[in-house]
Amino acid sequence: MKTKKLIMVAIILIAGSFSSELLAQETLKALVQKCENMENVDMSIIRKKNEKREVTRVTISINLNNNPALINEFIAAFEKDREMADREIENRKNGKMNDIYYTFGDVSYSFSQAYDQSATITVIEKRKDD
Amino acid sequence: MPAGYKYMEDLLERFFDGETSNEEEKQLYHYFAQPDIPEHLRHYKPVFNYFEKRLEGELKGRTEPFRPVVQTGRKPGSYWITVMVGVVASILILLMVRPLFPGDDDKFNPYEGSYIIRNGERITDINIIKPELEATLQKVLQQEERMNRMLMYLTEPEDQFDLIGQSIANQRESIINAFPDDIKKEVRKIIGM
Repeated sequence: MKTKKLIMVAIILIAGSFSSELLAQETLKALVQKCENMENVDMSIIRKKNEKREVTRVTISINLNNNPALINEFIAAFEKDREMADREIENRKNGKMNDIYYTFGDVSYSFSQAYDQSATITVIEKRKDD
Repeated sequence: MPAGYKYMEDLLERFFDGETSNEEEKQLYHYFAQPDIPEHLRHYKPVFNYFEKRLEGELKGRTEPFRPVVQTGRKPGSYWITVMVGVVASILILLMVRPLFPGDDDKFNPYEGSYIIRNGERITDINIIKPELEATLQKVLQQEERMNRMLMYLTEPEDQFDLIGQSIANQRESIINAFPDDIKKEVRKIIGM
């Protein structure tokens, strides 16, 4: 009985760690996916492969021009997922958010806003060594 | 029956000219059905195995009684045999030569599966988007470096203080160790070590 309980606890802990990693970037991930179907968003999705044709790194770059609503939505999404980030850097100037950088395990999200109100969001997912 | 390879070479030449009789063709099929065939004739083996199997299949599948055909000059089936041999030989040559000239399908592209979205339109042609992908990667790399520098800048002071503290402690220890034992004890008492 005791062993069964221990196994159950171990399974719950392992499942919990996986689900927390998935939930960690939930808001940001959903917003990035939403951008794929938006007409006024420029995106690049780069799947880098090694010679064994395995995907080693997925890079998503989103450029936002004249889209303050979406920029604010991204800043809010970063705020929402901040608690679950392993590392976080935020750089504000005169109250304006300039840079955000969060990592969630092997996935990193960064946000960079230029003076002309354009912004770039980058997602890097490292899957394997090159 | 002479079965030396010189004889077989002669038979082969006549076979490809369509001048062999049924009996001679059978000899060729039997010869190429053997396991030990000289190296330079070995590449004909699959061709004759194919014909032998085809012939067997035709004989098994034949329902009407066999009618002997009177030969007049050139054998009626020899033209098609020559065509089939040509086709099979071409396929074999292509299969052998293909690895030496890899086509576009075999070329490895590290960006396979990547795409860009511009004005709601998804562009997947790697040849078109490759320069843009590389430029984006370059920008991303620069941004990553900037973030890493920022991270280092933010975490550096703690590490530096630790390093300076450790360095001072090491220097102090080496100075104390240079004194004679009685003075060393006194110094340690004074600085509370």
